[in-house]
Amino acid sequence: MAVELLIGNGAIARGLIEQGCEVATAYPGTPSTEVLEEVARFKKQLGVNTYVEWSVNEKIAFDVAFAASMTGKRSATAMKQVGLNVASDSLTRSAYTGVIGGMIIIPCDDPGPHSSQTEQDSRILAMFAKIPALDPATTREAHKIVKYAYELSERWEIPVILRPSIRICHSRQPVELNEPSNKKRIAKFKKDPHRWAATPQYTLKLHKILNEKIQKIHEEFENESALNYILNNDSQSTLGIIASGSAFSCLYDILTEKALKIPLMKITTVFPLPVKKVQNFINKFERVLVLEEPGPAIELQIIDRTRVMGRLDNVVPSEGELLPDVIYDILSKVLDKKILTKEKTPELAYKAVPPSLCPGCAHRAAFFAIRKALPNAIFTSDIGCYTLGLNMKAVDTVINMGASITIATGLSHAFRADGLDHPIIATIGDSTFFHAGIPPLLNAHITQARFILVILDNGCVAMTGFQPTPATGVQADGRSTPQASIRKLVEACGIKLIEEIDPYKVDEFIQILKKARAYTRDENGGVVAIIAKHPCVLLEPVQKKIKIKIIEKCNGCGYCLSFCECPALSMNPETEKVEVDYKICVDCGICIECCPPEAIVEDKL
Amino acid sequence: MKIVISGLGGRGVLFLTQVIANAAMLNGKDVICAETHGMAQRGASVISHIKIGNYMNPLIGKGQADIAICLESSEVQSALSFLKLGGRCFINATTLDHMTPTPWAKISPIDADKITYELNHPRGANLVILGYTVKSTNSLDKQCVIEAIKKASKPQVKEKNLECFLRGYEGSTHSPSC
Repeated sequence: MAVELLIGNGAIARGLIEQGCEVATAYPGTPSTEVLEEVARFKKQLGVNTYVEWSVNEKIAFDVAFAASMTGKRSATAMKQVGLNVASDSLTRSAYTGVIGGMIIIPCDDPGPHSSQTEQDSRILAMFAKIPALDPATTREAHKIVKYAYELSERWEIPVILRPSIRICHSRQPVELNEPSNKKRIAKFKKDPHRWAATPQYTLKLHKILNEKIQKIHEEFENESALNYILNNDSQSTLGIIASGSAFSCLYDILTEKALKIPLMKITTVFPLPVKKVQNFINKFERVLVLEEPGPAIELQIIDRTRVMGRLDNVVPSEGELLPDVIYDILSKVLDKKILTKEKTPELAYKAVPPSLCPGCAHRAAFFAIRKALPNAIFTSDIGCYTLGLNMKAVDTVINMGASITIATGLSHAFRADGLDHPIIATIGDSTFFHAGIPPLLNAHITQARFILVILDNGCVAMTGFQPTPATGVQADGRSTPQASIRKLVEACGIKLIEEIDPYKVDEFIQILKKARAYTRDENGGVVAIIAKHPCVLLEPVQKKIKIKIIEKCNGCGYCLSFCECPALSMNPETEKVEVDYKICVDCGICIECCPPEAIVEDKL
Repeated sequence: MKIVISGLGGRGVLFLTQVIANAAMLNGKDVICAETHGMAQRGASVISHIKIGNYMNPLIGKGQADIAICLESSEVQSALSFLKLGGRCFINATTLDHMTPTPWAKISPIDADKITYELNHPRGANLVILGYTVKSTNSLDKQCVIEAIKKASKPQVKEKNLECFLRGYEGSTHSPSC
């Protein structure tokens, strides 16, 4: 049998193809991005006909996959956990209508967080929506469980949430590969408006049906001993542990290595929880610890919690990842003895290097110009590589997708209500604009907000790995598609003043920003949109190379380090002058504009 | 066998992780590793964990790694925080003089940048260090690593990658410090 080293997302993708998923949709977002990318890779490699789509946002991705399930096809949709929030309207309704072809929803959680704006628990969203949730503990398990997820989904005509967290999404393990299913389901739609177009009176009926389904699924889970089982059963311990997901696998390794024979119950079917099975386990011990992340999904469903320790009583921290060291601490506390090795290595002072914009990034030029032109503005920003404008002090708010424009609107109205006029500059990326910026821009126009919007168009979804946007003209599997126009969309929202500029032209950009500011203050003015277009420097290296050098004039003021913030520039503590790391400098020449004493010059050899 | 690889995003930590994991698999061992994706290209501190053997979870606790590979000398503290007492650390550096002495670990520098400069292949520094690590620790099978490098490398850099690995394997210009 063939074996391949796959990351969790790839293992899930392989599982989807093997189990006959015919429609797979997603929007890029760490830690979920690779699910669709791996589906596209396997599609090509195996020559299967799976329809793959990077949708414009997660709500759309969800609906497209859901509609496929309505026709009887197996579908899947993947997103990061906050992406499930974007799709939550669709999520909750899908439980009521149910599905026909199996549908698997793959929200990827990020305890830590490593790369997200919350540490929310998608399994609790599943509880809220009344959708069954499966919690695989390893990459291999995530691959295997796809079969069960589809069967469960079709048996009860309900979508199923398969929730990996980041340590499974990005954890690589050898996985045994199976042949892809060649079962094809021909799409058909049976008219049933009481189901697919349920008005309140039918929604009530659907809700009753949903509640009955969840009851029956609960009974099924009570008997599902392949997924929920007990290890170290014959111990004399007064302590038991219940665990799921990566917390389970981390704990398992620790218990094995430290030879701790503590009875351990693995839960894979987190919602609806097999509460009888769990309570039987709890009743055998004086105390039971629940280890799961990032939230207390299992813990909240336990009926009698008097002997239970977990997040609700602060034995387990309520924020942050359950790293091995955290689990060691919890176990030591609970067992009342130190379980780490006697000799610990010395504590080391360590400061992690935060991420920064790449050398040559056009966002750097744009933010420099923005700060130079309007230093007193409020900078509302958004989610993408350009969030790193924080390092240049050119970002004041980052709330969620599209909030750069909505917050700018709200701030504008709040100030103007008091007759105040504060400059506001919203920065948003091209993909984020398509995802969540269009209705906000329309809203800003019709409510007569006043701010400058800079759309930073680098031609791709950069931070997550250069996926195509609606303007790119290509899909996840490489097929050609029509291309959307940012300018036309901005015009359609009613914006009267639209400028287009290459942000590398820093001086010109500053002039445009000043003109824009005047327009926002003008009686007959409004929102101004500036489309700052320059390809991502990692995708298209600098065309016109400008080699630079720092001359004697440098007085060590450090202005360039604060306001240009290129990683290739650093202060030499001995000479007290700035110097260039030519290993990473890409010869973009932007820094030439960023030196007040003009000590950065072109090196004309 | 527990190995951590520390470095900065975009400079080959992931590539090295996949080579080592593949080498272990080719050698008939089970392996599991944790990688940092997403922020990888933005120059941030990144760390990979690799566990070779029958493990269920990829994460290595502080003070638990047998080997730490440090691709950027600025990240050495991160690497050392995962290293066990008496563990071995291999670092891309010319000298250890600027470091605070760490008698509890065996730190071995290798001037990978010098070698890659000679070979005109700056992105091969991680493979130089891997070569040195494999030679010094018997942690991985040399042939399996070579196969893994061949599999993982883009055609245009495959030969240079192998050269870097072999140069690192053949010898370093420094001996391990105490």
